[in-house]
Parts: sequence; structure tokens; C-alpha cells
Amino acid sequence: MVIKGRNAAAIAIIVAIAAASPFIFIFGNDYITGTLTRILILGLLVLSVELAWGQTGMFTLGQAVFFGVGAYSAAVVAKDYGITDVIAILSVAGFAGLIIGLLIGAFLFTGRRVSELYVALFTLALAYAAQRLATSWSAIGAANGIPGIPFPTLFGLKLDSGPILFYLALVVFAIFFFICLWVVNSQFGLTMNAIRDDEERAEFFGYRRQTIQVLVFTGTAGLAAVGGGLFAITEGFVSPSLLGIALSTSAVLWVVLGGKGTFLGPLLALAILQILDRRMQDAFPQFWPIAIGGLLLITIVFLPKGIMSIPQVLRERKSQRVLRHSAPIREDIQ
Amino acid sequence: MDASLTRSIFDVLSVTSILVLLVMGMAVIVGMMKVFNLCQGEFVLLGALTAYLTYEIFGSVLLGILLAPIMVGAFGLLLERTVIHRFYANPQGALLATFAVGLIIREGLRTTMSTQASPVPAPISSSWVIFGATLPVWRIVIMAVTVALLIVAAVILIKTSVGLRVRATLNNPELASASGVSRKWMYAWTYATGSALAGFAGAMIVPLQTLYPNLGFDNLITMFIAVMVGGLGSFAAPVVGAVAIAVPGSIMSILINPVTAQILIVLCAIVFMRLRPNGLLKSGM
Repeated sequence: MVIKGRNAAAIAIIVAIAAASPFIFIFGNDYITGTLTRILILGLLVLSVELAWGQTGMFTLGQAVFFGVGAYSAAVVAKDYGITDVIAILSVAGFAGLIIGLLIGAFLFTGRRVSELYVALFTLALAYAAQRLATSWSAIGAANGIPGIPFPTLFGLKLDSGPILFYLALVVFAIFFFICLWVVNSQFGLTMNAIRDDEERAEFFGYRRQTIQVLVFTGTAGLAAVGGGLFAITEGFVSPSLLGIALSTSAVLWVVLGGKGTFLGPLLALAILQILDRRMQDAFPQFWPIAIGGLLLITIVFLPKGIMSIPQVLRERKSQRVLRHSAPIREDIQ
Repeated sequence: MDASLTRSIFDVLSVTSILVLLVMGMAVIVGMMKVFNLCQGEFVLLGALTAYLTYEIFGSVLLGILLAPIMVGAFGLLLERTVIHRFYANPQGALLATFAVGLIIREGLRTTMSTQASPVPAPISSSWVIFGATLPVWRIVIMAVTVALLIVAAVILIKTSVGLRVRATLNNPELASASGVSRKWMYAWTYATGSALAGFAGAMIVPLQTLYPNLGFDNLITMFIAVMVGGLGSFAAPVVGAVAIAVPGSIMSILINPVTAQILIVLCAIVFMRLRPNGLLKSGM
């Protein structure tokens, strides 16, 4: 893998979080630790949306379904079967996500091509149906979800404090983050981008559009499910809202705000909003959701490529101004 | 005919007419204009809110039903001229922008409403007894209004010059504007009409439910599925889709239970949409 500017920055961020974390625990408290752990876990969900939508062009509005499947399977395995080993739990969660993802991906992307908006509506309807199902299914706790999931263990050691769970989340996040970077920078990643930019042309070039889309979709489902599994064992409870439209659309919102097509922007947007979230909900409990909607609307209208494109937009403004002052431009080519 | 069978048939007809009424606005915006309007549910909510407010202030729900299409239509016009018109070439952007608008309206109402849900009485609260079954008159009124509105919409679209211009603009915008139809205002007014229909539907159905912030969003998925099952590109197809979703859905919720029926219908509909992406009314590609 060639380490280019953007990747170097990403790696620097991971290293910086790891290096700064001891200070966070010395000066911080449970609340800060909990927030950071949650950012890393939701980061996995954001990565999966970015891979599916930002890199491959599959507009998924229901990625939380896989997150929730991972969370529920981890909860059932840990609580009902008494398996607490982290690696085993996350493998089960990831595997559950892969299977569901494969089924849905194969259904959506093999055979005749479907439009992007069909994928969006399909996944949205799926998230709706999944949440309804989980809310009414008594075997998995119906509307109450599954509380009291035991702390995970690693090689027999109990991982039962905030900082340790944070490091667990950091390690898992770092592993999958590097896998994502590696995939996107490989030849396969270029093929994904080709399909995103023009499905038909990629097919004409001889790429197996269907296989690649199903593969990527399955992979992102597994990734989201690992995130869900991690959520279940660190938070200690799961509820039907993990499967639903709200979390699915939030994940898309973070990607839009941060800038579709980059990894750093969406993660940055997630981190900023999560850090603000609790404080704003305390300060303005009623206006915070409205503000989020407003922020989304403003971003889509004025910054379609998200916060990561602000420098680019400013540069273009500047160069346009220079052009306007230097020479008259023919109107028909403007 | 015995009472329970009458009641069941009445329920199926009532549920179907409600969904058709809700889908009509969507048939204009999603079906004809092909804007994936995720705030359509909130137009319904705003219509319901209008009825609630006129009831609270003037004591008349009927006034709200008359005002709702005007208020929500005006809002739709404003929204089209400020936001929606930027996204005709970018359907993904339209989807996200309308989602954001819906979120703002929904959460805005949640902050201002003092209670979780507010009931709104029906303008006509009596009921008729037919074959031994007690049938609320307001539901019968909704059926009649739905049928009347469908006929009016069909006549306007097929017989009048306005309808011709609308269809021309949506089918071939370049040719229509070359022929002297203002594309800009045609799109704006069509969008406003779709919003007005949704607002009217909201005011009509709120007496059957209650006013709560998720009133629109809870109906949105069903409305969208109806449109997709029917197919895009015309006014009639989404309406047919609504009937195709509502009739088996309501029969199943009488026979099994409502939650299972709803999940099954959603699943069947999305499988159907995959197999026939152009919907019921068009075959093949």
C-alpha cells in the first residue's frame, strides 16, 4: 500500500488518539471515555456507509439493520449462551452481518440493474420493517430490548472498566480502518470507484459489476455488524432502535456532512456531533434535532461535498474572482 | 349479509380509501415529477396541524380541512422555489434535502406540542347502521371525497389545457419550454399541488387518528411503497399501487394481526419492486 497524503493523515489521527488517550484518562472522566468509545464504535458504522455509498455508489439508507443484527446476535450469544470471549462474540456478530448482508446484497444487485434510489428506498423500508419486527418479537425482548449483557473477556481476563473497553474499541476500529484504507487503495478499490462513477461503463470494460457490488455490500454489512457487536458488549444493552431508520439516517447524515468519498470527513463529522450531542441536548434539548436538520439542509444546498470540501470551495471562489477581474469571459462558455 | 362481514368489507374499503387519499399528493410529486420527496409525510402532518389549530382557535375542523390545502400548498410553493428546484438533476440530493426538511418540521412540532398526542374530533361524529354493523359517517365521507377527488384529478389532467401543459412539461421539459410553457413555474405549481393534496389528506384523516409528531413519517414508508409498486411516470400508477397495497394489507390485518400483516406487506412489496422495477402498470424495461 502506498501511503499518500490523505492516508498518512488518517494514520496520524489513529496514532494521535492512541498517544493522547492516557492523558484523557488522567484528566478525563467516565463521560469522556464513554463518548470516545462510542465515537469509535459508531465510526465502524460510518466506515461501512462510506464504503458502500461513498466508494461504491450503493445508496444505503438502512445500514443500521446490520449494526443491529450484530448487536442482537452479540447480546444473545453473551447473555443466553454465556460466551463472553471478545473474539468469539465479534466473530459471531460479524458472521451474522455477513450472512444477512449476502442475502440482501444478492437480492438487490444480481440480475437486472436497479437504480440508486430503488436501493435507497429498499434499505429504508428494510430498516422500518426490521425495527417493527424487533419491537414486536418477544424472544429478543420486544420493545425493551436485551439489558444486562455481561462484560466481555479476552483470554479469560475480564474487560470491565471504561478505559479498557475504550482500548478494545480503539484496537478493533484501527484494524478495520486500515483494512478499509487498504481496500480503497487497491486495484479492487479503483474498480469500486469505477462502478460508483458509471455502472454501465464499468460493465462494458468487463468488470463483474454484480459480483463486486454483492461483495462490497456483504463486507460493509459485516463491518457494521462488528460495530453493533462491539456496541452491545460495551454498552451492556441493546434495543430495537439500533436496527431502525433513525440510526441508519444518522449514519448517512454523518457521511453527507463530512463529505461523501472521503474517510476522514465523515469520521470527523461523527466525532464533532457526538461530542456536541450530549452537551447540546442538555443545553437546548428541544432545538438540537431541529439544528441537525438545518445543518443537513444547509450542507446539501451550499456544500454538497461536505466539510472536507471547504478549502476547495474557498480556492475556487478565489480563482473565480481573479478571473472576473483579469479578462472578460464569453458568456456561453461560463 | 351479517354484521361482522359488513364491518370487515367496510374496513377494507375505508383503509384503501385513506391510503389512496394520502398517496394522491405523492402521485403528483413522486409519480409525475419523480422527486423523491421524503418530507411528503410532513405535508400530511402540516395539514393535520392546520385542522387541529382551527379546531382549537375557531372550534371548527371543517374550516381546517378547507384551509389545509391552501396553507400546505403555499408552503410547498415556497419550498420548491427555495430548495427543491436546485435538485431536479440530482435525485440523491433531493432525497436528502427533503429528509432534512421533514426532520425540521417533525422536530419543530415535537418541541411546540405540549402533549404527546392531541385528538381532533371529526366534523360529523354520527354513524349509520347498515346490515347490523355500525359504520362511522366520517369514514364514508372520506371514501366519497377520495373518489370525487380522483375523478376531478383525472378530468383536469386529461381534459383541460392546464393538465396538458403539466403532462407536457414533465414528459419533455425542453420541448415544452420551447413551446412557450414556463418550465420554472410549471414545476413550482405542480409541486405545490402535490403538497396541497397531502395537506388536505392530513386534515381529512386526523380525526381518525390523533395529531402527533410522527403522524406523517409513520405513513411515509407505506405511501412510498404504494408509489413504487404502482410505478413512476404517471398519476394513475401510484393510485393503483395504493389499492394493490391496501386491499391485501387490510384483509391480512383482519385475518392475522396488524403488525405481522404490515411487515409481510412491506416485504412482499419490496420483492415485487425488485422483480418488476417499473411497477404494475408498465411491463418490461
